[in-house]
Amino acid sequence: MPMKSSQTPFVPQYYEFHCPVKILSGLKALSNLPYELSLLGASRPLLVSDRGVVDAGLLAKVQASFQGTEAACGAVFDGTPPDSSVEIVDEVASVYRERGCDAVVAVGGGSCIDTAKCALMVLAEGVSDLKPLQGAERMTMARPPFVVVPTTAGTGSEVTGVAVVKDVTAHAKMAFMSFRLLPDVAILDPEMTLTMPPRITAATGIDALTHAIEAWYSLQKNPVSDAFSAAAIRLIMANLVTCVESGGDPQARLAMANAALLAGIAFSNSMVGVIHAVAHALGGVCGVPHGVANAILLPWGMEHNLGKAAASLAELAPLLGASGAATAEDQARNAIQTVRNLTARLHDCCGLPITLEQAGVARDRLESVARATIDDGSVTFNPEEVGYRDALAILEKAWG
Amino acid sequence: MVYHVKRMVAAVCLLALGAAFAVLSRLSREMRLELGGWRDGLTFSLGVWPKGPRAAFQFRTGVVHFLGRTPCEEHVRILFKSLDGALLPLTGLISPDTTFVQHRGVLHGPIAEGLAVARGLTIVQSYLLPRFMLRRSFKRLPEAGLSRLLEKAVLFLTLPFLMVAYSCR
Repeated sequence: MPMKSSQTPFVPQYYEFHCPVKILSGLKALSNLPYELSLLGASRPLLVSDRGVVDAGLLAKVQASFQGTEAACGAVFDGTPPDSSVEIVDEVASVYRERGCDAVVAVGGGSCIDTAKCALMVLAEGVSDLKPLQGAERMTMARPPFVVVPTTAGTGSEVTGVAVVKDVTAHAKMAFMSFRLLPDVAILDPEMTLTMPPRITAATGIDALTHAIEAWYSLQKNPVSDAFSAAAIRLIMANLVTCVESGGDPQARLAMANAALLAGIAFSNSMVGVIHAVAHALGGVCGVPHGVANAILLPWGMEHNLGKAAASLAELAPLLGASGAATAEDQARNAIQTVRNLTARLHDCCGLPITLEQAGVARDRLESVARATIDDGSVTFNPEEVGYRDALAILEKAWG
Repeated sequence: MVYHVKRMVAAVCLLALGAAFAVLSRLSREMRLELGGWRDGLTFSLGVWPKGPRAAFQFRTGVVHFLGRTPCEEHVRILFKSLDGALLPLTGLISPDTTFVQHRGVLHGPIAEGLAVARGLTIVQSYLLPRFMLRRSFKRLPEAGLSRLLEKAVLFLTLPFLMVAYSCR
């Protein structure tokens, strides 16, 4: 097992780290999109988005960035649903081919970005069936240029090589992991998140915090991902409440966009744990939005790991702004209490649920959720064992 | 020379693992509980990239059948990135979970079924390895008891014969 100490950085026996994504962050960052596309040899991108993004006027901002350049919007696909599917992916790939596009620009949240990634897989591999590409590193062919403009600050999908879509006929989610799915460029422009409503801001922000915290104590943690986690946690603790209370603050919005990206880099290189496993299961079985599920589960998941990861959890305390304590376990408990205080404050600010009962989960569904939890890949990377009974115990505590 | 010895060790370990998986799918209560959620006809394999030793399995009519090195169109494939990396879990130095944590192997196929296979392999390891090794590599030790002890005794009595029989495949 790796060495652990509160003074020296944690160095595992072996680790890998990969993030080649170019990051453009700041005011008017979006205006550099055509230039970045030209560097990638592209000028007719397909914009993959959803109706919410179009209605908020955000896609128009992307299209406006092409004015006065040689680049032009090749086509727009704005039909991405919140829970994308294989059929949608095929539609996106068809539009790309029919309209002679030469790049893909995803403009939206996690679902838009994942749909774009899967469409790129279809296009690169020349396949009609995505099933054989499930799992890790199945993609063998180079893909067209890929740029991501996130409109939420949470998923971190703009810097991960993972995509998940639904297989409607099999009633199952398909997951794909490949370094070829990592975007070429991620553009963080505060204008793209200014209009996000308070509750979605809170939920997506807690999603980013959960990425950073789970990456911090995951079994796959490493010194490089730790640096990204720490930076993300500090930014979130300093800016999330501001974004929820005064959404029009561009500096706070930019800070949160950066935090989500940093947390995304961290967790895509050290993975997440039981909180995400249960949250994915809650999403699948009860339809609880991912960020909401994370907000409810975060303190309980941290507590579940107190036995095996007390030292790592204790190190979180100063990052979260929690007070120190005489023992590692007490300090870890302080860190958990700080997270509880944050979610309680967000509950007061915007009604973000902090129990499963508040999120509308029926108590008799908890067993089904617990069964689905142990089939989620995230449990592998959780320090403490996660069996059916463990998952059920967490769910019962989180219920109310 | 060293490479060939390592390759042989990996092949023997896979043979032992395969034979044990097949036996435990009939014998172990814990394994039967795990297999209760598996779909009939699921095929899976463990192998060393690019052309190292491999072992294939099929779950059929409630038990795991060891197919040996027979090529098959598997639904789930666990591929070790190197021979050295494969020897760590195959000799019990790390658990199947740690194999993925340390990037020693990659999973091809649906994640949920891959995880089920990994859980099955973990159960096999928990029977094959002594407790002091499990204490080092497992997150939680399996429950000890008389029935488990008896199952282990039957496993170790039959394993050598099965390994000889399976080695012909």
